[in-house]
Amino acid sequence: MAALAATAFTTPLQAETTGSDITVEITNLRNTEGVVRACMTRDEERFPRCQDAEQGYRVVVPAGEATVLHFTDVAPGTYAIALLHDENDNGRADRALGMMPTEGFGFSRDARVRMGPPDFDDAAFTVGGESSRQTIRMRYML
Amino acid sequence: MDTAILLSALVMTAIVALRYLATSGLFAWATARLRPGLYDGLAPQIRKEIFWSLTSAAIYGAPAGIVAWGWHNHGWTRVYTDIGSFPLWYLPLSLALYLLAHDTWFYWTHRLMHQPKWFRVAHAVHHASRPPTAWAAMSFHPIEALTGAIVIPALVFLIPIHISMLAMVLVIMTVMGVTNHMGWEMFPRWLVHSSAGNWLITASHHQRHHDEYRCNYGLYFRFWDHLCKTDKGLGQPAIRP
Repeated sequence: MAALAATAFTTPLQAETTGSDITVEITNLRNTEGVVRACMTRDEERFPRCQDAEQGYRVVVPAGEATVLHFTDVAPGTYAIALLHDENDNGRADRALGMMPTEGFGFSRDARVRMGPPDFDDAAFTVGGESSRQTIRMRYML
Repeated sequence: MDTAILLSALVMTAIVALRYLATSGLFAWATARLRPGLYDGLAPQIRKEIFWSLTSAAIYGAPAGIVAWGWHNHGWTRVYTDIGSFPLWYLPLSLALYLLAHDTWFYWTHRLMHQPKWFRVAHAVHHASRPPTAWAAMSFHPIEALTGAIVIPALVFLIPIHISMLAMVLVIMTVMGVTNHMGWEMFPRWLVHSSAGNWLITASHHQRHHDEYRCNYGLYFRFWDHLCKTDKGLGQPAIRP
């Protein structure tokens, strides 16, 4: 748990000194098992997974404490957030038959999952100089 | 945008075609193993069945692809992905509603296509398979294919359904379409010859439609056939010369 707590801080992948803070309220988590992995990126190609994203911020918190997340020191730009309720904490979205996610997900602007995750544009929001707050509802396909 | 729609239609056509080849191929292989010789001498007919089925794949794929595109990009349809959007008891109910609606549409369009005029135009292709094989599942004239292709793309606008139940509808549609034509009964006797079997359509029932034409018109269920006195009971699909 100590290790988990240690990772609960934002890890800006690119050094920024003066940015704004983004606060995310999470609703509808169905249990307190595992962790919530949050990824916020400017890179359309790396959304929603943030893998190797240059313009990315990540937060991991135990699901039991994940009612509010903070991204700190965020550089201005257009971003999208993806949340994964990684119930077994294995670092990825588990899927049934390799297709349907069995773990919960949520996206900024509550962008909907239809045939696959939403496009970056549907989840995109602008970060200016000021701190902001938003709510994301978790959804479960199975 | 137009190219995205076209691409979606093409991708869906490819998926439908591959689904057909995989499923029919699997059951044709099973037939060769379990009922060796059943398709002997039918190679020319099977080639025609595959030709008409692949043509039908485009007719099924286009509307499905357009609707899938509109669903993803514009939120069309009442397909939902969040399991919490409806109560859990609605999952089996939605599955039943889809199968019943499809069955009803199929029964009446099928009876229409057995009117002599429509039969010649639209349905003779399907009955040219004598006896049908596992490859005949989608062997339809384009007009008949169209009557089948619009059902699910229309229903998703009318009846809410979770994506997993929609997948289930497609699996049932695909597997029953193939196995009802493959010439032998894969379900156990205790089910086929039971009171439940009296309401369900499997190969034993549909084979008789292909043998005798003017009976056993249903798709999944037998109540329309019972109600309209068109049910002649089960045939003997496995005992064929």
